Amino acid sequence: MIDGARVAVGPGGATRRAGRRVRLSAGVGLGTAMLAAIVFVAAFAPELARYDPIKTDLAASLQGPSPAHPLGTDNFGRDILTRLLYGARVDLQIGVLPTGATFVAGVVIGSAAGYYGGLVDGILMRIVDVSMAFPFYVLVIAIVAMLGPGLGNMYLAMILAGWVSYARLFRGEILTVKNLEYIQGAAAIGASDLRVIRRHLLPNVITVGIIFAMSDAVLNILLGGALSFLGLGVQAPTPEWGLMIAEGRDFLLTSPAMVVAPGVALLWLGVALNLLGDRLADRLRPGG
Amino acid sequence: MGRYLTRRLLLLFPVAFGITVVTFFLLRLIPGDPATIMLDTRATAENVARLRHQLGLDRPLAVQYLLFLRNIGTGRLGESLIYRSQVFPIILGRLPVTLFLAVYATVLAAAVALPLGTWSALRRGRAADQAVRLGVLFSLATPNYWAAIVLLLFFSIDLRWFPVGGYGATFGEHLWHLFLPALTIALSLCPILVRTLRHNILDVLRTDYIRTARAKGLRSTTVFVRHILRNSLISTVSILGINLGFLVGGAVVTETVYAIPGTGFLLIRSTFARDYPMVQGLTLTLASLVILVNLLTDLAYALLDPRVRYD
Repeated sequence: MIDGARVAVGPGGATRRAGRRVRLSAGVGLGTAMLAAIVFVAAFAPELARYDPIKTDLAASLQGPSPAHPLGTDNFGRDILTRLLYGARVDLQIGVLPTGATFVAGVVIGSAAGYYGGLVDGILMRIVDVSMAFPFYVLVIAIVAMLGPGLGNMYLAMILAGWVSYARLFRGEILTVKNLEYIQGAAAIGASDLRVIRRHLLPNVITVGIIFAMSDAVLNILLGGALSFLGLGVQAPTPEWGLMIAEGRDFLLTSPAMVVAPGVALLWLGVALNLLGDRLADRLRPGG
Repeated sequence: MGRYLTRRLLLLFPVAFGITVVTFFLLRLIPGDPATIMLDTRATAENVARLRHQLGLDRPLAVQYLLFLRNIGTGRLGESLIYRSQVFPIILGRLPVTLFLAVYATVLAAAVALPLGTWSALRRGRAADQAVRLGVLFSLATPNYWAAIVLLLFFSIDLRWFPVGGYGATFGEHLWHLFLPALTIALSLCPILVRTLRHNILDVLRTDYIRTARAKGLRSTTVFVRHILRNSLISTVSILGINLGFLVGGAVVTETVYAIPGTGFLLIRSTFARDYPMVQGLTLTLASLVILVNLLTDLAYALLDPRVRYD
């Protein structure tokens, strides 16, 4: 709002700058609000929902929207809205867990490779080359195919296939800042390697990692949904949006909400994260 | 160019080696004894022993790996547990379908992304740019299997413009059958291309040679076509290799929804059927395809952009 006031009084150049700031803040604000809404729904799903997300009631199957069931019921008579609310828990988890795990693994391996160079770096870069050759979906599905379908194995596959991109990112970022004078200075006054990495290098590169993680979380949510849709990830009767779309496929004509509602929910979550990541990246990259 | 080519080809070896190691160890991820799991209800002691021998599981790991390499060299990637024949010919039979789909999707995506990306970059910060960027955000967040179902419902079931699935027999039929699947993949590829192109054009716009071109009084269309677009496109094309992996990933989901007999559909079916040799063969083949296309892209890039050779 303060930015908005400045737009009204500022001269030409300042107006444009301030206008840009308003748009950026608006983007970040909207993204945060959209994400907060999902987190709220996930946290309070039992309080918000009026029904059980799992219990079937065949007598009430495939009902249209009504005051009792605002989005109608699915083929097992379960309230679609209730399953949608509980689904937020699973899909947020899919966005957070594998992304967080690959992030941490990437920080550790990537910083070690970037900071020490030499053999560690050489090995990492060869692993990166190899992993880039595998289509990500194919590798994840192949690993799930071997381990067997299920949520835990899906996470494991996503982590095994995904950590390399973070390691590569952090390695590159560390390489660009490690020769700056104050880093060399810190090492010269006898700070331990761990301290230099933790206190001086990581704070410089972590923002880039977080922005990358935001778009990566979207990809993971889409991948997790796709695997569940294909029957390889989350298993029925757990309410997960991708799986709900798969379950609603055959009832698209009679009960479109079964497919449309979880699709919109996935879109909502993805847009929220993309909006945040995109606008934060803008803020970091003044020229972009 | 010769030195660049040699170095680029030499770099291929460690990657190819790595791919074989990863695919070899894929089978070791199977919890328990692969032979017992593969045979399922037919897992008598005799059958298990025979399959273990057939898969080479009764030999030391290093020997198994060498045998695996020898088999790759002769194109014998293993016998499918479902089709009861070598997996490689089956995969080769399905590959053209996936490649057709990938190229089709790229063409569709490029046809939309080229004008959109350019327009967005040239109108940077204005309403048009904001709208395009918002569109990019939305399509990046759209699940492709969801888009596939919605498109299928609308265009195939409701309007009956396109077939519900299949591949067709002639080139024209392929185009017709694969339009919706290609569109589905294009919907997720397009935002990536738009974003890259927009970014590249903005980078080129900031360069000195554009200022020079303008300063010496070239017409703005000449500056645009000869300098801006050409240079931005070169670096956009270079991400094509990376996108092939993405396209193949998209094909897995799309082929399954539209029941198209390509490698992606085969991968999912084999996964459910626990046809491990087929999954292994598919992974190896698709990864090899990606490094081959990456190599070709890099070489094309080196031919188009003289700076690469001076590295």
